[in-house]
Amino acid sequence: MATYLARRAIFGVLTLVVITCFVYGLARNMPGTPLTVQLGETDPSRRFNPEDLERMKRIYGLDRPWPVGYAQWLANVVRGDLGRSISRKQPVATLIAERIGPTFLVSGTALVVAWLAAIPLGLYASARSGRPDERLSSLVLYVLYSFPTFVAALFLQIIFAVWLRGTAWELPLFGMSDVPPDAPSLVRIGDVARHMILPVTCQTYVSLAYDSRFVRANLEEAVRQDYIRTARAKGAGPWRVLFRHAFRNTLIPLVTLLGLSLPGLLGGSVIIEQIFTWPGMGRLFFESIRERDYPTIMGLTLMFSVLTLAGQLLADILYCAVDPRVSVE
Amino acid sequence: MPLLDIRDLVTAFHTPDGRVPAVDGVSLAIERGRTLGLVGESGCGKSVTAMSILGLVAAPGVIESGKILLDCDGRTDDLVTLPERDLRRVRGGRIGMIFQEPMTSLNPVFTIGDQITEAVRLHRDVTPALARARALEMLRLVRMADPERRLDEYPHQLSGGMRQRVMIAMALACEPDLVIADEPTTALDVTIQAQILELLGDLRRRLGTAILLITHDLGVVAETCDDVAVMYAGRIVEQAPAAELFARPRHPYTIGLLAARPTGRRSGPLTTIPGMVPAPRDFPAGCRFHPRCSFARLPDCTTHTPALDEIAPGHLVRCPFADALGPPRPSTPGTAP
Repeated sequence: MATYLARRAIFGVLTLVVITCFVYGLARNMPGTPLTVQLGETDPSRRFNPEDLERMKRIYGLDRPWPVGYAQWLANVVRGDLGRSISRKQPVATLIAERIGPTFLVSGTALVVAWLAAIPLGLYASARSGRPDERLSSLVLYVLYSFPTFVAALFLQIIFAVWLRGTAWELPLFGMSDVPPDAPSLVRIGDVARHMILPVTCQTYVSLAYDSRFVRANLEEAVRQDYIRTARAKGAGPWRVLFRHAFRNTLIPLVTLLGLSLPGLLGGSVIIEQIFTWPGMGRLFFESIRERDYPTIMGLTLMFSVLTLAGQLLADILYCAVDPRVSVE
Repeated sequence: MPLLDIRDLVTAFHTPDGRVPAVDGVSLAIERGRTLGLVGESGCGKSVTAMSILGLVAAPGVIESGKILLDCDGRTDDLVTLPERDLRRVRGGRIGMIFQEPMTSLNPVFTIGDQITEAVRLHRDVTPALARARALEMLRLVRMADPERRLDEYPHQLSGGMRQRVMIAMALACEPDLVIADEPTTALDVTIQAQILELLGDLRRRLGTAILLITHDLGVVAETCDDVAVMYAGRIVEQAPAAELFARPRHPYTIGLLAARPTGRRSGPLTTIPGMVPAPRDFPAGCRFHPRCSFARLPDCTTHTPALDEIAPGHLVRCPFADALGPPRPSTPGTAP
């Protein structure tokens, strides 16, 4: 186990170096720099003179070629320093710490809701396979799966924030909270919960549709196996066969899917957070790219990469828990 | 009254290409404590017959007609019409099932103990500790080496022969009156085959369980069965006590099968039956064996389905020329061909 983890860690670090180097190279070679992008939005009368610009470039290390800059960034990361955001004048670690909570709130809720609904839906679809009610529910799920989130988000906003304005069904259009920070905590929690409903709905429905189809496909594979016939020949009833014998065998692929959803859990959805102005990681990522804020881009890239690798490792370790045939060695 | 009495069973699959009668009017009887061998080539309907008995024919297959009468202490249940809930009590409780593939027939994510215990607890109202004790007892009964340790092992940790012992332990855990063994040794090495057959025979003698042994291997039948039924293309073509069938086969198909057995004495190529087993959707009219029959092939054979006639006590043959075929009967030398 220890040697296995050590080997995975070494490969993980190498992967991270390759990813970050590639992304750093791409980011630095995008047109514009943090300084010029800011300049474009500044009043022409207050623009820097060229000497000041050169001086600032030196301060931020933007005068040197990008491989040198990458080496410097990597050296700082090894020392535990993610650097300071150029556009926000704050440490990148602080920015991430601020944003990670709201993202986790939406993504975590969406993930839990999606799986809690997807597993029974998949079981139901598998048990009722081919019957009219199952055909209808599968069709609805397929339509949902094909429906883009940004369109659904806009529809939800029109319905709940515009058409239903003034009714009990009205939901906030965007943001995370409308009440002052000194309001009683119950009021604040309720307010955030109301703001969460639409983004969570948007993030849930696609994965719900995907996950329930995934559960069903794996169940249908499992029920064709010989051991299902054995279970039935033992006298087990249909639900016992489906839950105990078939479902237990589908946990292996489900765990993989769950492991792969870990980066999304903390990475957030760029589109949904942007539409609902949710102060999360996805929006921070989008803004940092627009502002050419290299330290923030790199900090987030590093975090997403670590999460992706950790998710894969977690899935592999969970494999061993659900499948006695698999061992990490 | 026999333990299991199958009468005119018809099980058909309704596929998009039409109705496929995999089992077409099969009648069989198994007496308590006896072993009946059901012999035939792949696709002749022997496994479908077994699944029909348990009510486990997979869609789109349905039992269209016939009776499957199971005797239980004077009461007789027709398994064809028995409600699903009662049928579940029969499965594993009164009829145990052993499948062909020990490698895939055990659930890979549960321990051996879990799987035998489940069979016990589905039919007996016992505590988990008692069920586990029963599982251990069953593993000892099937002569599993190191049974205590095996209880907590997973199927992948066991060899094919050991897994088949587990399947047998599971099938016998609730002391059924009948065990259906569908090709129980086909997937195993020859030496293991012999061990498993010996074990089955031994358990039958000790527990008095009747066995329906489904196989394509006449050698297995000769070693283990009291009676034999030969199936071809969905129908029984010949049925007799084992000794009688091997000594005096009467149906051309049975004669062909026996001639095709490797004997170990002859040299040269094996004798074969010409032609192929027909697929159920193009069963020939008349006698289904007529296109491959090397004996009499009268016009009647191609149009008229022969009846299953009793030509000697307990010896049934579906061929009008049965008396003229096969080795002569010692008591009636006049009927030699």
